Amino acid sequence: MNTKTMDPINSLKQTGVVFNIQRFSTQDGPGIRTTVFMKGCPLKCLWCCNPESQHIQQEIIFSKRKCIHCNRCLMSCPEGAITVNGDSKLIDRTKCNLCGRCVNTCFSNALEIIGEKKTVQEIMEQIDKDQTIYRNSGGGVTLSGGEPTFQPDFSATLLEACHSENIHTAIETCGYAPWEQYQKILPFVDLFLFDIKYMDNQIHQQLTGQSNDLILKNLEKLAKTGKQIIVRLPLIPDFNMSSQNFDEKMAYLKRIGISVVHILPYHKLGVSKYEQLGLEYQLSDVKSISDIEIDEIKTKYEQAGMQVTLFNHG
Amino acid sequence: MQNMITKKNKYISKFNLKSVDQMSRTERLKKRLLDTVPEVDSERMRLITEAYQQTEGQEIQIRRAKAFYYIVQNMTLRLMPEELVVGNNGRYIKGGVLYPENNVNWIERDLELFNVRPQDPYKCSEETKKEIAKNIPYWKTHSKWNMFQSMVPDETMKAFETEIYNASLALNYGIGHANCSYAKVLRTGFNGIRADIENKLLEVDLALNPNDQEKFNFYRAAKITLDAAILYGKRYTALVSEAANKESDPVRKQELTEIAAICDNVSENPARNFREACQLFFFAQVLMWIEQDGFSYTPGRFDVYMFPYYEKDVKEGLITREEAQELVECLYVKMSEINQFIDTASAKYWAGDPTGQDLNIGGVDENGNDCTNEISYICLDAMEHIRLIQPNLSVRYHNGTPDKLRLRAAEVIKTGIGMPQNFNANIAIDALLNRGVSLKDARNFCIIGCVELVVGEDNWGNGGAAWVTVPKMLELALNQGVSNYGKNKGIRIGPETQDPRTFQSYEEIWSAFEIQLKYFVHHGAIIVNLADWIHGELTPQPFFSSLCLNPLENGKDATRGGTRYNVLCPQAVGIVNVGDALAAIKKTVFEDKIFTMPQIIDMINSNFEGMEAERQLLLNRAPKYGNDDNYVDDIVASVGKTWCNEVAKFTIPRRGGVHSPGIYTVISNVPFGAFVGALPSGRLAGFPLADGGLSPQVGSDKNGPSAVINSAAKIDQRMASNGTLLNQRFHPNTLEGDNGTRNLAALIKTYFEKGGYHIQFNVVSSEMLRDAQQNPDEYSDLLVRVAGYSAYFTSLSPEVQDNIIRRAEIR
Repeated sequence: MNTKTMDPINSLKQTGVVFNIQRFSTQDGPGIRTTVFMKGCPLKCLWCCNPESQHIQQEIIFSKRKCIHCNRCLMSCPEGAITVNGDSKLIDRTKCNLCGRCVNTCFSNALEIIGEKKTVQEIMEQIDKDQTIYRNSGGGVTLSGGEPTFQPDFSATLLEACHSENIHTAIETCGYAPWEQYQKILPFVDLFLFDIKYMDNQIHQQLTGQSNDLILKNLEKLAKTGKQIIVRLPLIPDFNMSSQNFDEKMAYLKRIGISVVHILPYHKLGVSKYEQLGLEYQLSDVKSISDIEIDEIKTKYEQAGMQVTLFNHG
Repeated sequence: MQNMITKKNKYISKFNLKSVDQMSRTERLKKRLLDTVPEVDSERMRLITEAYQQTEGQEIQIRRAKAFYYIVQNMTLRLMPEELVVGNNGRYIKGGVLYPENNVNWIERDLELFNVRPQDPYKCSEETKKEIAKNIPYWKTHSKWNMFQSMVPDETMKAFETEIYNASLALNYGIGHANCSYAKVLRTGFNGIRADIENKLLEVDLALNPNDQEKFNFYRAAKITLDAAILYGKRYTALVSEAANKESDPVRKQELTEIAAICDNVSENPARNFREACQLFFFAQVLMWIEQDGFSYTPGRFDVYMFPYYEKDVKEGLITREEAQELVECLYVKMSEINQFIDTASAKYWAGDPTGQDLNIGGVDENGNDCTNEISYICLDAMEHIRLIQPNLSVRYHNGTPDKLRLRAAEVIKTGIGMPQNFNANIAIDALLNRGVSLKDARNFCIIGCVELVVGEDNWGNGGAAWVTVPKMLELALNQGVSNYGKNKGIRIGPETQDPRTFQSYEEIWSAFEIQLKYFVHHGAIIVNLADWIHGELTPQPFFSSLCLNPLENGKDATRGGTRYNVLCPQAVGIVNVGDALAAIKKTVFEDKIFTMPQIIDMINSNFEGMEAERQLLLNRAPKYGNDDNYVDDIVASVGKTWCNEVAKFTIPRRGGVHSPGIYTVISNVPFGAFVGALPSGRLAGFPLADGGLSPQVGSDKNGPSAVINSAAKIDQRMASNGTLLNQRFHPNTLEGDNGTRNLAALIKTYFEKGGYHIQFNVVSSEMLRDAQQNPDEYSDLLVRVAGYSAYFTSLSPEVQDNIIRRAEIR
């Protein structure tokens, strides 16, 4: 296996693009965790609740709610990329070169640049602040995103650094990456949280922009490594809640020996981020799922012999 | 407004859904409590007036004892349907009993306001008003307030009249905040204590030791109060026997016969079993409240002193666990029937009728071994079931606390009742060792009221001596001692310090702030010492003193130095706001040079009028406490340390002992905030200060609860020997399931390992609280954590409700 040995000084200087480090995460693996959100993802799921994570490049966002209309940003932009649009601002992203001048003058943080190059060491400094609570809660660190395998060397180094401090590690992955990239991180991951969106390849492609061939193959290979895997099943009304999809999924998971699943019902908590990025949200007509429907689905999985945890943001 | 609450987040009160006949006994007792509108009760005021009139010219301790006897002899006793434990402090459930011997002025001033005031209104009939009015004149010349005015130095009076302090508790009411030795009461009985006193009286020879006159007076007074206690029990025996005779229902008749027998025995003798222990406990509890009011006559280590009776009864097959829990719930009901009636202005600071009867569970014995027992769990189970505002349930954690207790406590917290609150025994013990307490006694610490810390069973604490608003002192330091906001705007109330526009360094600001702080702590010390001395002078408490360990040995009333340990405790409000403000100046003026001092002064003097962008910069670019950022956390820690060191310099007159500083707000952060001008942290004038004591300012903490506990743990809490307080609020979804329980227990454990003293939680969503504001009827038993206590949400004024909703919700 292609394991790398850590060169303690140089590897701590290695950088990756990260857009958030969230402490006290309770839904990204066992216990209380720090979740490192990495930028860049090979999929473009229609319901993505972190649209700012999709591109590895930095992006500028504007939050109308925080704007105090001081208009300093207009004056500060050398490209003239920002204009007033009613009670909001319009950013011409073709002109914007992310110089950050407007962000510096925006004291209410309405304008922000998403994504920052950080060294492993900088991230470890944040992670280490909660060592005691990881120990007391059985928690640790989760790499999420975006997609951690999109920056495989950086992820591997970061995970290895956690392991060297005896911190439990997990990654949340969409499964879409060359197997070699999983091999890089494999020795340093204790738990995989692996998304399965849809079994039918064609529909999968429509929903996420990519085929699920590679994803399923990777899951099968991972399952053989003996690593702990929890499959996460997003529930998107009108899209992947058909009973056919359910039955296919069930049969597949059983076949490859997966028995623990997390159900993640669709929520709209990420919608405002689309507006902030100047993007259109494509699922605006989709309704939220009712508590009753969610309970029914949970029961269905349980009856199929799965160990189920529900993550409800309602 | 459309109500957006989902069914899942709606509060469904199991209790409200039940019909009366589906309810258990204690649920029906609870219903009676919730259905009762508090009412002003003039009986004690009339009786004490008569008693004092009969004893004019007599020595005050003896006078107090005779008054206590007279009240007990003549007061109306209540026996309510279905109750298993009896006793009352006044005519009504949750009655507003009056203690005119403290300060009649507020009673006179508020007489027409009682039934209309927004926070904690009380019914008051015309007849009651008449009786009160009739007895007011006698007390106009007998009040703590009159004595205070005659003794206070002029400059201290000037400081007192600013909005810096709230010292109203000690001058308007009894002091309370005390834990007697319930173990001694249960073990010895009232007759046994009376016998001890008689023996002590025999030892006093006034010819040989003429200076023992005060001792003699104390013993004589103490003996009268024990006679009163015995009389109270005998009166109850008669009342319950009579009711038993008249009772037609055979089941209740049997209960009443048993209760009468219990009352008869414990009126004089030690408790022989768990039922008797419960009744004797409550007689002691309610009698202390009849002698004198004051928040927080505290049950203390209930599990420790009750367990032997329970264990023996279980062995002998006399009681089941369920019966024991029912009795404990009955006690909770009885404790919740006692209200501390306070004036209209103070009700804003102590909102929701708290009485601070703090019931501690867990902790260590004198050798450091864990004390958790079955009663600890019964206390938690009872509170989870009955959801009452009293007692104030506190868990004492130490390294050897069983995981079972940690998880059970977390489960009860998750039900959203704000209880139990959580204490770190290690820090409590260290804090007391810092104040010269022996290790053995420190391990027997007692949490009083909210978070106050004393040695159990033998300490007169005066735990709520004053609340002091520290941000006002920074405001003065930034304006040469002149108030910038509130009723004294434009008036110099503090020492004249350097023109703030000329500050050349952070150190210069710090020294100006320190000058203001020292000035107000100094005058504060004079104020609280005077109030404390006056309390001992005018309202000694021979009954309470007899129930403690040491006063009978010393021959001295607890209020005059009779207990082994003595402290006097002022609390700091807003050290977090001071730290945030100082950090903002340090960073933006002296380090990054974004602003000049004159610019900062212009901003706060104008309350940021026309300078919203600059305010946003201060809010968002200057470091804020609660984010695990040493830059500002260290400043908050310095403010806390300076406060603690300054306060601890002072000693107590007559009683001896030291001033013991606390860092907690109750709900005073709201009314105090209304007097504090704009601060360089970006906080606007008049806005509430940071709540709790160590909680971040609303909206400041961006990195979640683990960052908050890390920030709070940087403050050396062993210095704050009267306690600190940290509030956190969770959305219920965040703590769902067994994982959620474990995570909550882990959060508490982690905070304590890092050096935290106290943490408490509201597990309730904003949507639910807003829904409760709209539909109060559906939420009548929704308990929430206010300060160091829980209260019914719907009993709080909209201001206080909003303050709770504004607390950061972790989801």
